[in-house]
Amino acid sequence: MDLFSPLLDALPAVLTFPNLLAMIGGVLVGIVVGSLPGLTATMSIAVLLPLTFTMDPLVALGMMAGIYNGAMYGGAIPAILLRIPGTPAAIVTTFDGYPLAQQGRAGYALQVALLSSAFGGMMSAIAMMILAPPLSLVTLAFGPPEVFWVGIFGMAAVAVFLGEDMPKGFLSALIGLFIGMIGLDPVMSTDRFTFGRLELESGIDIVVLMVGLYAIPPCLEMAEDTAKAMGTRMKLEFQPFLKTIREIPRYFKIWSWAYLYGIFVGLLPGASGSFVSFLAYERAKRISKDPDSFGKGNPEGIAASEFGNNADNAAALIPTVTLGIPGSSVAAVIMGGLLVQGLQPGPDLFRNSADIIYGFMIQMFLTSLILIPLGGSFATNLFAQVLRIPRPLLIPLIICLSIVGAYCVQNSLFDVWLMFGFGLLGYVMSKTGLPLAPVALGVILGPLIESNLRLSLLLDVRNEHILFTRPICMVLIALLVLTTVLPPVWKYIQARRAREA
Amino acid sequence: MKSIHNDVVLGTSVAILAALGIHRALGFGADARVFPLLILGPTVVLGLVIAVRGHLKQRRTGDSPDFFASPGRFALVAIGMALALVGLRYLGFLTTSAVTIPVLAAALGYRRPLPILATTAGFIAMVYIVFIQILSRPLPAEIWTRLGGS
Repeated sequence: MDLFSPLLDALPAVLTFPNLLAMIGGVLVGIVVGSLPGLTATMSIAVLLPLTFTMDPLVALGMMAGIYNGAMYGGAIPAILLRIPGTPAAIVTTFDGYPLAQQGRAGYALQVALLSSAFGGMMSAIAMMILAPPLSLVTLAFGPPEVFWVGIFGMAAVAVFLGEDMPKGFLSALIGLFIGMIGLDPVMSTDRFTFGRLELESGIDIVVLMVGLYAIPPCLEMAEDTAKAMGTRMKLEFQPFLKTIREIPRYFKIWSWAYLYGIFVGLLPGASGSFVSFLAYERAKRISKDPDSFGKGNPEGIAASEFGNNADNAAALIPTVTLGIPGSSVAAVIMGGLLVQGLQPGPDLFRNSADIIYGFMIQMFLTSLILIPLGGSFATNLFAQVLRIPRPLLIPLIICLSIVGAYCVQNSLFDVWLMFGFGLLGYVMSKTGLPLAPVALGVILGPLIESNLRLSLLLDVRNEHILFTRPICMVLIALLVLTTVLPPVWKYIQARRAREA
Repeated sequence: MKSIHNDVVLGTSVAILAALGIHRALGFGADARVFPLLILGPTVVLGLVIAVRGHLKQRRTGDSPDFFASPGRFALVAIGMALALVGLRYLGFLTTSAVTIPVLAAALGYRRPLPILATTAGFIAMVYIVFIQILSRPLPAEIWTRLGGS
């Protein structure tokens, strides 16, 4: 009763016409912004924030919720159609989305992404409604040593399970961690590997890296292949949306794991939705009856990735609204929006402005729900038409879109050259069988891992080896050992059995 | 003549670059070099492992996969992209796109003027409306605006 009465009290204000309009408008803007590389939910909310100053708080928050949820799905659109992740969280969606599009099933891939995003967002909002205050306490049990091991575990899991060749997986992860450390070091601000370039001091932006790494190699490979496929267009088959909806039970198990990861990682400040989708994908591959089909167009990979990165949406706001600690960059901008409206995050928010904060949670739920009709009719059929463009024409279009995406991050031509360099790196990696995903994750997690390692060492004043002796650390180390040792041992046993047979 | 296996080139290059990185990292402050050394040390080892493994594999099977499927077409797109990046500075984004899209499409063998023009115009209109008009993102200035202003 305590839970439902504030939600019921807030509902009438949420269902007013200006509010519904703000939510619908926000979702549409979010889908478009998310689908354009270089434009993120964080940036678009920040750009539109001044417009909300004079709005009613709930209308302003409704628009932000719409942009947030819309952009998280929008990122999947270019990831599936062009292998350009619209947002960092959509990197994993490219693994199976793009192969499905090449098989002529782009429409179906978009439908799976849409349903997974929408249900992920709705479930995340429900978690926020029910668990916000108690779950925020979990965050307090995770200090720098625990966050360090979470990061290392994530890197190792991705290096082991996403590549077919373990040494190459680990090499990719190390390359990513190296790229992530370019710039000023997080504690002493020492210049590292900047070669005197001021532009590198703030580090490599993940958007520049991922646009280069994921968008340029397919262009080069498509060009090499164009001689054979001159003037051909990719196939484009649609299946009724209702048929895809009926397939939902197939994804329940994958979604459940992605949900757990989303809530858990969402609570950890600094860890983001991109990390959740990696973890969810790796788990989906492990529990699948057909793990070999992952990376070749298995819709379960898209379901895991999209549900995972959206399950983190509202969860990342839990520490923001309860403790005033933003769990992600977009949460930080939303916190700015709350502050502008005179709403101070923290326990008092639930007492003094219950109607607004519970209203915001309902808006997070409703904007995810609205995604289904808006995305189902608007995005799926409209955006999939991109694949009708002949390949020789598609290549320069992708190149120009990548240029504008990289340039818009910091209005810097240097970033565009950097993106081109990463494109060539991605091409070399793709040709030599080095997986791309661990590089992207290394850049995302590298600074988090290093700063928490160094904080842990600074905290260890009594030389108690806190990195190894705290209970949660020990559990994480055990998981890490199991993750890295078991697969090669299992592979060896299977190979031996096969030889003996 | 037997060519060198891709993994040998990859592993050796990575190991050399990582070793150079270690040399540079040793010049950082005591705390700032810990993490780079923790990363670059294993990178050298893994690079060497991959190179040796590639060499052994080539000796055992004799295969050496080609790196480029079509070196000419790869060069065409890579040079086209580099020229577009140079053009960006002097011509502006919209003008560069208006030149790059039709020229590269034609160079890759697609020469139907109407679809090329329609797609180019559509792309430029989308960028202008979304990036410049709605989101006010400043793109590299167009050459005609600079010429007009002088």
